[in-house]
Amino acid sequence: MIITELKDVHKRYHLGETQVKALCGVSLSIAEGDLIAVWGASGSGKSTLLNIIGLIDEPSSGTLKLNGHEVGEMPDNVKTDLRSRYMGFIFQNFNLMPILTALENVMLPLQVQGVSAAEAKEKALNCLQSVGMERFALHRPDKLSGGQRQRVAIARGLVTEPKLLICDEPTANLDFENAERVMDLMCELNQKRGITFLFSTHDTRLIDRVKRIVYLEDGTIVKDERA
Amino acid sequence: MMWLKFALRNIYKNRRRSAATILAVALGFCSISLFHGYTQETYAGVATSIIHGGGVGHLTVFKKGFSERGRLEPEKYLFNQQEIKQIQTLVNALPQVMLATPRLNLSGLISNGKTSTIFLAQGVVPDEDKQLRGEFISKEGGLDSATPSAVQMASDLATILELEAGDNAVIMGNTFSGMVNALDVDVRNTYNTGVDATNDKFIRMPLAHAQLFYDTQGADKLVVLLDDIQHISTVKSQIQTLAKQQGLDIEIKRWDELASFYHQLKAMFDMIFLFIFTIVIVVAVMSVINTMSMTVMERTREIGTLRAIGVRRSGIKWLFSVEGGVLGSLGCTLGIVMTILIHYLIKSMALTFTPPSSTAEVTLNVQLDIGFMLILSLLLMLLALLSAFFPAKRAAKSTIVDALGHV
Repeated sequence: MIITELKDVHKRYHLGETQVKALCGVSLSIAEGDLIAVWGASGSGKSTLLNIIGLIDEPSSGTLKLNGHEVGEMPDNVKTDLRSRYMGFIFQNFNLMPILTALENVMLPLQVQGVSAAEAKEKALNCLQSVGMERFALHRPDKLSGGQRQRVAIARGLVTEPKLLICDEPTANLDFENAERVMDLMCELNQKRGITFLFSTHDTRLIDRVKRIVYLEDGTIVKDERA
Repeated sequence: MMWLKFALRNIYKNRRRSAATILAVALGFCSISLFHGYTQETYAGVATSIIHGGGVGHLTVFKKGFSERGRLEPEKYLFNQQEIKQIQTLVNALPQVMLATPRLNLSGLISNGKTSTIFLAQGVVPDEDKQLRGEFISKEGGLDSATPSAVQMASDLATILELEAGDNAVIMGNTFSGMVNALDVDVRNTYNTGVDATNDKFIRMPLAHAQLFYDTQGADKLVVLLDDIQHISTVKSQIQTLAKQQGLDIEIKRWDELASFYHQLKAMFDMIFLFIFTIVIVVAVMSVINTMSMTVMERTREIGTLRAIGVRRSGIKWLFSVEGGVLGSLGCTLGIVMTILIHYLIKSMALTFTPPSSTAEVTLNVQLDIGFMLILSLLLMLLALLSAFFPAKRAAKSTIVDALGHV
């Protein structure tokens, strides 16, 4: 089943008087259960593509469908609710709330949805357990290593049981050992729980672990191959 | 609750900055509350001193037209014995009335045999005057009906005439029929009127002696004392209605209508209060705006993350508004504590000062106006909340991508 579909998506930025073409006519379909790596050099448009798919940026032209519904003209609140229900995000810099414990960080997306604290806590603990971080539930992010923080971020991304987990360079700030662990975790969650992952990377050591690789070059998909 | 937890933790995280803001709000709150308390105490003190100390009472009943023509033709605006009794019966029937006592004002010359000077005097019923003046009766005691010629003399007048308690003097003037009259008076004791302008002129004497001076049995007014200052309007209209029913042609003045000084003082203090209030509020609000603007700026990436995981723009506004509101409420709470402590400190120190144009020291007192403090708390909390709302609104408007990329 197709979760997200992009057709002829363009994205242009204005830097002063200069126009930067970040995406040029990108078309892409993401099916449920995929584990997709978007590979490309810095400035190739990986993050822009992920942001548009994650509804946190808007294309300059082209169409984007989520579960068959076009989202382009939807009001901001509707898009926000769609993000909350269907998407999970994992950021390069983890982006955990520094004032919250690991457990509270994982509970947060559920509480935003209006889930009760007790239910959110139970689900968050399960997620922390699934990423092997239950022992650190009461630790604040500044007391965790980079790899541990990213695992908490993955748990936060998973806790709402999203259809699609979008990870922007999830291993970029990790050493190779931690990057491998995070990658193992993503593969395991994809295989065992069927969670769809879309992540960007320019680390060649990770791309042989995925089911599908989308190669981006200057804002254009130059190759889309399945493993 | 979630946003409250966020707010409290962020306030604690930036505790130094938060403490400075809370302190600014608290000091602002405290200074406004204390100054308000001081003005209220002053208004109440002046009112009491006019009503009781000055013997003006809560209401004064005159013959109709007295305020326009009474000084020129006082004899035409006197109440006779029967009218006095009729008004007293009518007024005393009201449950809020404690006293209705006749008065006669007089003026003339007073001489010690060598020197003469003008005097202004008030003829009062001694026992009723004691009830009206209460704690304001001088230490030496009030007047005595049994000795009608024994008067109380303002201290500066006694000094001018070189008179002391036990000395006698002569008062001179015209009766209402135009005859020259002179009476002996004995100085029973001296007292301080509290005001420079009157302390060298005033005499208080029993009504009977004042009536003898003017050769009349009447009084030019009746002073009415109530059980509570709040009842003035009600009682005034009741007396007017009853007097009309009984065919009495009277006019009634409130105590503050007879004391223009009170209104001038109040207008001046109100203006100073408004000035101080505006400055302090601006400083306190600017402090919150500064703190919240910095907070919003520092947490732009956090805003982007929250938006990405499903927090609506309104949620972001709430998040920071709650934080501003909490800062404001903590500041107000501290302000209330500071106000109460300073209130009791001032009370325990019993500081005194001499007001302008006054001859007596007064104690510095500051009222604790709980109602005002609650309203001020609500106002400051609301302003603190709004101070955070606008920077948050601006931040919530920015795109998520820009917010996430903020360094």
